[in-house]
Amino acid sequence: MELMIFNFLGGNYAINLQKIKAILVYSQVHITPIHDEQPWISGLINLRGEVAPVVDLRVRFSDEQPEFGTDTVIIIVKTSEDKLIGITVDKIESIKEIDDTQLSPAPELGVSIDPKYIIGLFKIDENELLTILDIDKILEIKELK
Amino acid sequence: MDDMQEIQEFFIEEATELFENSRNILLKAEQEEQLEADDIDALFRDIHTLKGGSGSVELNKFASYVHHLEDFIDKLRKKTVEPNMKIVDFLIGEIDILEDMLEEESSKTLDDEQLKQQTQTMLEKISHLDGSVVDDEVLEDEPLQQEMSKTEIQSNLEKYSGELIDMYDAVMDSLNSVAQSQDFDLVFVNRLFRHLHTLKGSSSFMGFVALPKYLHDVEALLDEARNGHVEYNAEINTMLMDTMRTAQEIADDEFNDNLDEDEFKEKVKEIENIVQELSHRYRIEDKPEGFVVFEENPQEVCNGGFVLFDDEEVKKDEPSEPQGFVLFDEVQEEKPKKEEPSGFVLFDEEVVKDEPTPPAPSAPAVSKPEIKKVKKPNKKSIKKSAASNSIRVGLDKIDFLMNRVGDLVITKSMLYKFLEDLSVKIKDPAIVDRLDRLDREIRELQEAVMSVRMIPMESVYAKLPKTIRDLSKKLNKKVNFVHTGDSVEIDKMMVEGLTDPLVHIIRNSLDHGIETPQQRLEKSKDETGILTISATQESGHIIISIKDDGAGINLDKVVQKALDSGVITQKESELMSDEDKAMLIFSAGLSTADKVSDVSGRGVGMDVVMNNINSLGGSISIKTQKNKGSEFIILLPLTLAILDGLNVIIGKEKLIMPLNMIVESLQPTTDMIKKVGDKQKEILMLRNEFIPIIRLHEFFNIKNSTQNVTQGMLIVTKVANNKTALFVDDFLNQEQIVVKSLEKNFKKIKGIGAATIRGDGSIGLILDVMNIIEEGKE
Repeated sequence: MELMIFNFLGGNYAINLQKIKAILVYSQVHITPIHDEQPWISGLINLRGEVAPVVDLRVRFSDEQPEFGTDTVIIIVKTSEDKLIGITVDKIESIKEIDDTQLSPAPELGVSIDPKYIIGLFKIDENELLTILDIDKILEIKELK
Repeated sequence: MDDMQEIQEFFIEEATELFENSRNILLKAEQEEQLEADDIDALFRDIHTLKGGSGSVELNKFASYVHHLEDFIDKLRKKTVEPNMKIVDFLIGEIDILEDMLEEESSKTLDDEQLKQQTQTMLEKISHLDGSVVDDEVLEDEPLQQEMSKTEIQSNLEKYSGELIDMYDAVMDSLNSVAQSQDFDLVFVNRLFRHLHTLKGSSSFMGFVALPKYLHDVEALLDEARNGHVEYNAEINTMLMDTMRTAQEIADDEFNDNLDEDEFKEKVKEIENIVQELSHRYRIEDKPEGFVVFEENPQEVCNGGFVLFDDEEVKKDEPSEPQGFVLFDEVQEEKPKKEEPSGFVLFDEEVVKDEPTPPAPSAPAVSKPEIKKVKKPNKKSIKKSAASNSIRVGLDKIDFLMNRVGDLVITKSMLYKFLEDLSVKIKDPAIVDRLDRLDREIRELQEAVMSVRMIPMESVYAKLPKTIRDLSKKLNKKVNFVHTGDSVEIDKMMVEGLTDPLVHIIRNSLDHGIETPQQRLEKSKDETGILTISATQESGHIIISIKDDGAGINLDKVVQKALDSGVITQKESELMSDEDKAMLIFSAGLSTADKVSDVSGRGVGMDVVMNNINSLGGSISIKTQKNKGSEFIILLPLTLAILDGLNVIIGKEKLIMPLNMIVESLQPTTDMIKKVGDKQKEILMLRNEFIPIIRLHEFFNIKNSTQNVTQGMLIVTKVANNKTALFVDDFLNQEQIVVKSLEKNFKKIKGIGAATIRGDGSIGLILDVMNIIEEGKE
């Protein structure tokens, strides 16, 4: 599986590269806010003539105030429900090919993200553990309500 | 298998049109109380096509059922059974059954037992209607005499010769392709049989007598082959190619009235012998497995010799090769003629007029090329041109195009903005000029793409005659249905949302509006009521009117009901105009019918009508007059994709309110605002009306907006009969916007119906007024 590794709130996370349709620089995108929705739904953007929502992963999985810098990007994902949805992260790190069989399941404890949103953990080296997110699950429409 | 499914889907689409067609014929016949010969012919053709088509896409149960029906209609056609209204009624019912059955078989829920039962039921009904039994093959011993007059054949040929040539081509193509591949499998034989069978049947229907008779034995041979009694091989294939050529000559001669009967009889005899011999020689029981196909000299059976490779010249991909009925060389000199545009205009009428009086057998060489002239354009004008002038395209592709054009519009406005920001010195009038031109062209492009989504109202009307017929029968009322504006175009996306409300209104008109024949006579009206639906296009709107000449709406009764069910108060009712009172029928839970029928009267429906129309961005109004009738007028935007909106400001947000919901806007004074209830609900008192206020900044939880109602704006909206005032900070300009779905990539948002892309490329939100009012109540 090929992974796109990115960083938010100081941690490295990854999603399947196949899911990614586009990457937009946050500062160049105009987000129209929608009110009275979940706080982590930043709003709607114009994606080549289509209307797509943006989910700020940093707000989704933490209470901290996110920062917006020059590295902040919106990754456009095509979900298993066939929706185009953007996720906001702090920084794109790299692309990495991994062996699927080397994944270990997410532990029930010790991870800040609910294990149901995690496909598995991948050990990069002794010190670093990569969390592979189940982005389809995170962005399911019923999860966005 | 997937392939077959796809083909089946195509067939089902075609079948739907055929059902519709047949229904219209029958309904017309019922109305006129007469089923004319032309109509029977048309009906027969439709049913025959259904049979042939379903057979070829392996919907065999359906095909077998249709076959019996076809037999019956054939009798009507041959006048062995006299058409009457009972038969028409029966046939209308049968079309319904066919439609159900096709759906069942295509979804594989039709079992044999059910088919058997239904077939039995139909045959029983038929036997009551005509009293006779099914008999096949009428052609066999009939004298060689034409049932139709020359002119009839001529006119039929004008209409159908293209199809006949197509069928002929289909047979020839099959033969040719297999002659090369030598792949004589059962699928091929089946296909060939069907093609030949259709050719035979259709030519007979068109008035040919000799041609079908000639093909009869060949068809029988193929029938044996497909049933595994005779081995289909190269020799038979070659023989068939020769036969088809002879058949073509016969068809030419017959069409030209040049047929020498003795010569024809000889040809028939010859083919009979050949078929007999071949069917005997290749009979499967008699032949060992490894039989050598080319053992015997084919010369004996087919005087043309072994022509396998000669036929390449007749191959499909060489359209210049004459493949039609006449194969004369002179014809080729006329090839340039094909450059002319195809279609009916091209039809050389003078030549046709000449046809019925050909110069007789003395000059066949002259007359034959002339037919060629007639037929070639014919062939092009009917099927082929229809096929090449239109294509089926998925809506998603059109939406994609729309989106691209939308982007273009945005890019253009960016350019304009860029130009505005340029310093005066650089600004060249030529740039502005060119930009304006770009703007015009983009606008035209946008309109053109939009027009692709438009379909004629005809397709909305298509289903109504049947509904009206069934309903009026049930209600024992006589109704004449009239519709106008069939060619007015409407957004395809809107049709679906429109059909339901239309049917509801029609039901209502038939049930409550139009009186029974007796009541009508008492009022000295014609006993048959008239229901008129018309569609017109006016200043960017489509106006659909549904008008009846019935009793009109009993306003007193409506008001009483509304009072009883608490929809309005006594005071309100006193202030209402007649139109307002009539509009009360759209309130939920209101029915004026004295008794509940299964047609309408449960008080559900009319409020749904209102909701449906509103969600299409339209509005509805009623005109009614006692004993004169009622008229429902639906006003719809031209398309769902574009909307007139008003930009409103709430805090820092700019939102769009659909214009069709807005009645008026005002800046209220303090004395117009009344506070009621313990929840400090605000109400606007406007000209003796009490209108509830919804503060949109509260609804959407937007901060930093105007809090004092008297410093902002109230926009009065009207949904159904209810007015609501929406409080905003201010409103700006009005503009036309392209509507984008929110649900495509997201979900429904409370209070927001859709979105649009603004000139700067950002997303604009369109308010869902109905939803706001509903949610705002709680």
